[in-house]
Amino acid sequence: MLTDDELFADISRRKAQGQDYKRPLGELVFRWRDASTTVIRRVQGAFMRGSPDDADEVFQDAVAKFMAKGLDQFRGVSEQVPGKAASPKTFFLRIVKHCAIDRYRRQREELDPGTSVGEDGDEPETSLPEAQRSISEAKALADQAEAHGEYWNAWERLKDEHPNEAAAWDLYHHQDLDDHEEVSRALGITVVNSYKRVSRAQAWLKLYILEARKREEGLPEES
Amino acid sequence: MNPSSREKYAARLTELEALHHELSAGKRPGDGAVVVGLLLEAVGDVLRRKSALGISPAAVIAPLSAISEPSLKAWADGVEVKDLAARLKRAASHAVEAAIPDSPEDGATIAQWAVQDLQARDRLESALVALEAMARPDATRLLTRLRDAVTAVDQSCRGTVVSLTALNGARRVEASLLDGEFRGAAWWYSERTGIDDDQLVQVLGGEVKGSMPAEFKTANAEVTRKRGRPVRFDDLFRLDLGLATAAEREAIRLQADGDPELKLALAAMDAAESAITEETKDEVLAPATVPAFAVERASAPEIVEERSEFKVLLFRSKKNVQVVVQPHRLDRFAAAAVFRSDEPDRACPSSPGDMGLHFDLGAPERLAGLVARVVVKLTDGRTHASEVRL
Repeated sequence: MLTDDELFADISRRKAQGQDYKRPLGELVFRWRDASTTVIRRVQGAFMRGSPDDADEVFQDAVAKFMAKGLDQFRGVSEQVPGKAASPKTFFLRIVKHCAIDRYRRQREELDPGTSVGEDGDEPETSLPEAQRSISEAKALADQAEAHGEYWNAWERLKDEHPNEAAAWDLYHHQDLDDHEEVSRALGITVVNSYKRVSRAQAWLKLYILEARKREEGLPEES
Repeated sequence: MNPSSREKYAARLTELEALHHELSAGKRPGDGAVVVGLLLEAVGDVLRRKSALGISPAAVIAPLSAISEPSLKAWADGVEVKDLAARLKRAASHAVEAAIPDSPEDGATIAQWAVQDLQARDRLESALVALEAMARPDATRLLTRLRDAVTAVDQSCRGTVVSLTALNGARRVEASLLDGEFRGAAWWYSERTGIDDDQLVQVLGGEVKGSMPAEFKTANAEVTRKRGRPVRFDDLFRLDLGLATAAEREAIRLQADGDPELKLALAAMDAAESAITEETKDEVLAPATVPAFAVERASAPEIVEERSEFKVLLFRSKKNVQVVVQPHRLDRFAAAAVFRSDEPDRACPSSPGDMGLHFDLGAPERLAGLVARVVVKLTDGRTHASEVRL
């Protein structure tokens, strides 16, 4: 029988050559099923929620993530201990761990009373002006959601194209640091550099949003 | 009108004669595509600026008749239109860096790079105008094919023109030399070149106060509106794998300080990590990674900068501090150097190692308060500099 590493090498080779690798992958992750369940239970214990059925779903989710991204992301090298090798099993179990954590974090957010629709689910009686106001509010929310989407698309592009500026912006704006002294300390750069990176990030984000809008309109910029 | 720019194009007339002579003599080995390209660009450059240069088209297009059909096809087949899109996008990106540079010297250099990329687009336009002037069936066929491809590039890149306003000084000079009939099509030089737009990028970046056109106001409001970015799956996963940058680790720390839900997730990470250690303890290769930033290992590298072409890592140990430049793409990586702030003119000693190019900065007690400047040069001539506090 092939070892885990040999089987993983076979899967990687098949994937690189465009061959079907689902069967050996299924065999490999099946070997790690019990270990995955142990990890999931440990997460369930920390969050004080979950059921055996959840474990199956989390496992499936982890396998899907391993196939989608993990096979390429895994480099066989421990990032934390240079020179040491990491095993594919350890890597897979970390995906399992984060799938479980993500699931229970989301569940807790959904149960947060601040974001719930209503306790009993009944719709209250609504007068016509109230209904019209609701429609306006719903439209405003939809507009806000759309704008929210375009901002995060621009943010993803900034992270990809200008990671240094994105890092500064993330601390300064998203994490509400709002202080270049602190940003510069966190990033190990000068205060002037922090200021410049945040300015460039801001300019790029706005320019990306404008570009995306132009693309959607399908119109060239007017002269 | 800038006399030096005018002279540059006037000199094209002399070049044109030399290229015509070279093409007619057929001295160059190969298919002649290079000379044909240069000749087309020179002819087009002059044709598009005939008023400014005071010449008649007939005198300029005569050398085009010396171009053979196979040579013309060889040139057209070699035109890399996709590269042009990359260059235009790079020009837009550089233009923003030139408008908001780390230092004025950096700004001037980066602006020059951006203008060079715009010139590449302009030279191709000149070649297409010359191709049209040939009025030959083979030239017309190639023109149609190239024009379609170039139009698609323009459509995908024209939205970046707002960034180019940072180069308006140079762009206005170029636009003023073009004949009216060609100016509008040359959007890379002529669009948004009004004085009002000159500081637009700096205004968008909040560097200077200024009026903003109405179409920018909603994007401005969208970006400046206060919002948080909740830590999610990818952030925690990167942290767990040791891939998170110093900034990403700091973002998680800051958020965990005020978010009990995130604290709970970090505790769950620790709990699950113990399970993983137990489940993999018999494995020979299992690494002992520790997820929480609070117990970060002294030997864990700090990711100073990560780009598609390379990664810069900082290793601290009791004995010494090392910077490692790790090329992701050897074909793009040209050279790297590291300078300490106490010896800014002397590069730190380097040696190739398992992980990349290792730079020894010295013992940690001697480096307190210093900054290291890491300069990486790529094969396309671009240089990336980053600083790290030691």
